[in-house]
This record gives sequence, structure tokens and C-alpha cells, in this order.
Amino acid sequence: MVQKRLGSLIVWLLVFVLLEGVLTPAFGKTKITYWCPWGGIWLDLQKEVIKTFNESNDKIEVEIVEVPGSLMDQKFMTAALSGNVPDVMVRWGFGGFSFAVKGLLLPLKKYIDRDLKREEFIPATFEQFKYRGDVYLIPYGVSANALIYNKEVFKKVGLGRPPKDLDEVKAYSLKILEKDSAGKLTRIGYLPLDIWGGFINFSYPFGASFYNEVTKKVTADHPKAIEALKWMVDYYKEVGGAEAILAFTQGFGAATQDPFMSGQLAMKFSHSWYMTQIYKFAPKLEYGVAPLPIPGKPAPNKWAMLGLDAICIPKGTKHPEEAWEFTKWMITKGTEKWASIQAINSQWIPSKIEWGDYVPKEAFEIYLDSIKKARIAPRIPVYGLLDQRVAANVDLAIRGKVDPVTALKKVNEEVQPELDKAWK
Amino acid sequence: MAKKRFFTKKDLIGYLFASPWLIGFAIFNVYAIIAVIYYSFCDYSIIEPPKWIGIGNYIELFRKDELVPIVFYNTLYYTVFAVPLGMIVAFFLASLLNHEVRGISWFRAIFYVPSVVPAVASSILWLWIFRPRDGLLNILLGFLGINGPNWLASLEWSKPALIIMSTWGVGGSMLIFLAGLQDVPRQLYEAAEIDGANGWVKFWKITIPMMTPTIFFVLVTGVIGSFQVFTAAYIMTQGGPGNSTMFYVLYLFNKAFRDFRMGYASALALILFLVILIISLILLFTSEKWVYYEARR
Repeated sequence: MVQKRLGSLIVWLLVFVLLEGVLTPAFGKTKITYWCPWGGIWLDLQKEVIKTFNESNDKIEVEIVEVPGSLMDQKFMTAALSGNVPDVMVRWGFGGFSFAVKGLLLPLKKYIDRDLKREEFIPATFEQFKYRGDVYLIPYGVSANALIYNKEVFKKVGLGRPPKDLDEVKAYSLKILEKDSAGKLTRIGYLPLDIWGGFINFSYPFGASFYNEVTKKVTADHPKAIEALKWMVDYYKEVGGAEAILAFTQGFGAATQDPFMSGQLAMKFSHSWYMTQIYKFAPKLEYGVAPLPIPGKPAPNKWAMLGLDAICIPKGTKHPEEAWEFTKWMITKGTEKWASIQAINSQWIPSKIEWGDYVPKEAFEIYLDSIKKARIAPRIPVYGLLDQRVAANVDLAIRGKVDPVTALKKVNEEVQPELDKAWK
Repeated sequence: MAKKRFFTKKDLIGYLFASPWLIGFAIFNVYAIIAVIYYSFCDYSIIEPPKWIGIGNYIELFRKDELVPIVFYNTLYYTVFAVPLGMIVAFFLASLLNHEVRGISWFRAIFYVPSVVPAVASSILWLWIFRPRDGLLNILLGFLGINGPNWLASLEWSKPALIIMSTWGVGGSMLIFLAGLQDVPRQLYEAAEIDGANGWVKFWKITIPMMTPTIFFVLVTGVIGSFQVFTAAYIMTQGGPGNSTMFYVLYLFNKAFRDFRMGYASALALILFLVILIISLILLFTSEKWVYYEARR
């Protein structure tokens, strides 16, 4: 009796497996997996985005897998080692470049040339992840810096229009500076390192560059980076000294303790998504948005860095065409809702993106202009290391422990050997 | 008398019962340790197969890498201060909790609770406590008329801050001390009292000597643990400001999982293992001079 039941169970199972194997390719959709680095509300939003794709496409079914962004590298390396890679994945920031160098990603140039119009994308789109003549990752959602300033504070101290260049930012900041009776800072105009990407991005509008692609040398001691660090060291001295500022900034947290929202910081070189935070935590704050103030006269290489997350197709996928089909949708239509809700921009210029009406009217155009001008981050496979060593050495410089030139030269010494190894 | 067979059936049954642990130990520890030794002589990025480079990693570690002395100094500094401080605090708390007062079990539980709080949560909590302007610690120092430092934002005070924070997790050692204290035979105290000893004398002449095995245990485990300090620095300071809280294991972690240089990270791990081993052995040898075991009398 039991054996008979077992027998029929096995037969049925076989039938199912065969049907699945034969019918799905013929009539069903091809299933591909997508590794998504976001969790929480962002994961929910990603699920909605994917649902839209699945409903609109009758050939491909995307299955979303949450892989926490902070663990993405480790998980992906293990997956690549075992050959069990996702078909598509998003990697935060620039780190995905090292995957390309390690030969883990599918080159995308032939698909881009076949299916996309390059002129429809902002200039940095196919530049950031160029490696040996091909493209390996594509930005998925972008932002670059603009000035966000507190109008209430400006009014209080008698300032009108937003500052136009960095010298004006300094002059404004000195006017906004306020200390209590004990001499402790209570309000400051501007904090140079309060910027996405830290010192590297701060020095970009000076025209600094951290890597020379011809000589393959790290150039943290680029004359313009030195100029930027000197400016910052001087600025810290003028507004009360590094220790005083660090004491002031160390207390800051996110959300309700945010210094800008509480009026303790009046100007921010910020990405646009920050406006959703203001709306959430300080909806009554009166603020304006203005183009990024740069040091001195404008020039093509004097602008901030393009902030982004990036999408890619790992080598070893069994469905490269389907993966590309999905990727193509993600970087065009698929960014629209994602970017709208977060108040960021899309790399695809024809995108219909609507930030909420809580955002100042002028903001969208200013940010769109900023991402079009934005420069790419150094194309190196050790960006994380560069970032950390720059932060540590710049920190010593602003405290006066080392002079700016020594600090930046030290970055070269620390990063170059690692970079040489990574290229091999 | 029959000669005992080398391996009896009873032995086998014993090993079988222990086998889940033995197998786990073999796979997850023994294999991993051997692999680390092998990889430490290789250039290994996970993706490409390990490439034998002899002692290249060790040459880099001892000769070229300028951060190694710094991270080693940071770790040593942390250990030298955090371990004794933690022991004193734990011992002090254990002594307090060794009194028979009403609700003592509650007090014991309360002082142990911080050790149960996940390290990440307590790190976030301490970020607040260390805030220079309105953090709890500097407010308290303010009452004493002291202008508190910038703590985590200060090159000089970031390590002391993490050392102070480490006392938050003394609950484990505290319990061990408490158990030790309760094992001190009552009659020794009674005899001393009859001879007219005061509390101070009893503490130094009875409690401390009887506690030395416990103190030794807590010291060794404490040193081993603090050489591997990681979580707080990883979450609160990421090694900064400057390099002031870049501890050895944090540096190792960065090499392994940020730069994907597993071979070099393995070499770092092996050197750390040897350092801890040597220090533990030194402690073990000196212990014969100062640790008192009743059973060995």
C-alpha cells in the first residue's frame, strides 16, 4: 500500500518536472534573479519597480533577492567563485569597478551600441565604468551637488542672495558664525567635509583629480587637491580652529538632530535626496537651492563628482539577453519612479521625473544641470581604500599635525602599492 | 592484570557522542586554521586561485606596511588599559554584589544586562554618550567643572573613550568574579575575625589570594579578547580620527573584505595569533609565581 502510494507520487513528480522543463521555455517566462542592495522601505519601492517590469514584459520574470549592500561584495565574490551568480545586480557607489577589473562582469558595450542612444544619457553615464575600451556597469539613479541654504538664517544675519563662489561662501559663513558666552560654536555657515564623498568630492570643484590614467599613478597630491586642503585648513582656522569645529560637528546625528534642519548649519553642498529628509523631519524649514559655488572662475573640470549606484550583469549568467533587456529597462524607464520618490535624477535624460511639490521650484533644473556637469570618480579598483586613506590623512592635516602637502603625499604612498597589486 | 586495549568499544561510543563537536571543530576550525597558514604564503583575492608568493606577505607586513606598527600600537594601548580597568570594575561590582541584601538577585541581573545588549546597539548608545557638547559624559564632567574633551573626534581621546566604553561589557567577568568570591571558604574569614583582622586585611590576605585563579582566568581571556577589539571601532569611528582607532583586527578586516587581499589578511591573522599565544604563555609562566591553587597545596 505504502509502496504503491510512493510509486504514484514519484510518477507525478516526474511528470511535473518534465512539464516544467518542457513547457516553461516554450510558453512561460524566463526567470532571472536580481540582487537588490536596499532594505526596508527602499526594498518595498524596488519591489514595486520590479512588479511594473514583470507586468509589462511577457518574456521575462524578474525575481528580486535582497542582498544587504554592506555584504554585497562578500556575497558576490562567493557566488562568482561557485558559479552561481545572479543575472543582474546593483552595487552601491563605485565599488563595482573592482568587479570589472577582476573580470567578473559582462562587457556591455555591444548591447549599448545596439540598443541605446548615447546622447540620451548624461555624459558620465558610460564613462564612469569604462575599462579597457568596454563598459561594465551603468549608473542607476544619480545625483550631484548643489547648494542648499537656510533662508531663515540668511534673513536673520542680513544676507540676501545665495553665495556664487567659494570665497563668498567663506564670507557668508563668517557672518553667520555664532558663539555662546563660553565661546563655544553654536552656529556655523558651512562645513567643507559635510559633503557626500568627503574630501575627494570637496576638492573636485577646485579641479583636483586623484588618479592619472596615463601614468597609472595616484595623484592625491594634485596641485588643486593641495589648494583645496590649504583652503580648508585656513577656513578652519578662521572660524575657530579644528578642535572647536570637530567638537561642534561630532554631536550631530541624523534626522531630528541634523545640524542643517536645526539651524546650526546654514549652507550645505548637498545631493538632492536630502530635500526628502527636510520634508520628513523639518517640513516648515524655509530653504533655497542654488548652483554649486565653486572656487574662482568656472572651468570644465571644476565641478563635483557624480554620485550614483550602478547596475551590472555578472559573467556566467545563463540569460545574458534577458538580463540586458531588464538592465536596459532599469536604466531608462525603470529609474523614473525610483528617482521621483527619492528626489534624485536619472542618467537617462528623457525620464519623466517628478519630485514632490515640497521641493523648491528651482531645485530640479539646478540639479539636472549639476549632474550633466558632474565629473566621474577615479576609475580605480581600490576606491574604498583611497577614500579611507584620504579621510585619515586629511583629518591629520586639518588638526595641524601634518602640513597639507605631506598629508596628501602620504595618501599616494599608502594607496599606490595596493593599486599596483589590484591592476595585476 | 589484562593489558588495556588501545581503543575500546567504550572509547568509540565516547567519541561518537562527541562527534558532532569534533566534526564541527575539524571543519570550521582545524581546516580554517590550516587554510590560513597556507593562504598567508599566497596572493589570494578569492576569485583567482591562490598564488604562492613565499614570505612576500610577511616581508610586506614587517618591512613595508607603515600602518602595521600603528595598528599594533593602538591595539596594545587598548589592551594595556582596557583589561586592568575592566578587571578592577568587574571585581568591584562583584564585591558589591556579593553582599546579602534585599533584592540582590535583581541588582546582579541589572549589572549584567549591558553585556546582553548587542554590541551594535551599545555602540550607537555610546556615540551619544560621547557627544562633546551635549553628551552625557561631558555634561557630568561639566558639573565637576571639567571641560570634557572631544572624545571620539579627538586624536588623543578616541582610544581612552573606547577603553571607558569597554567597561560597559564587564558583566561576564563580573559573574565569574562573583562565583569566585562565593567559593572563598567562610571559615577563613571567621578565623581571621577571631584573630582581630579588619575588612581591609581580610580582603588583601584572604579574598585576593583565594581569588587568584579566577583573576588569572579573567586576565587571560581579557587579554585575548581585547587584542581582537573590533566592533566598537568598526561602528563608531571606522578607525578614525586619523589612524587613532585603527585596531589590528579592524585593519585585518579591511584588508580581507574591502581590499580582498585574503593572503595578506591571513598573514596578519597568523601574526596576531602568535602574538596572543606568546603573551598567553608568558602570563601562564608568571602565573606560577602568583596564582594560588588550593588543590595543589
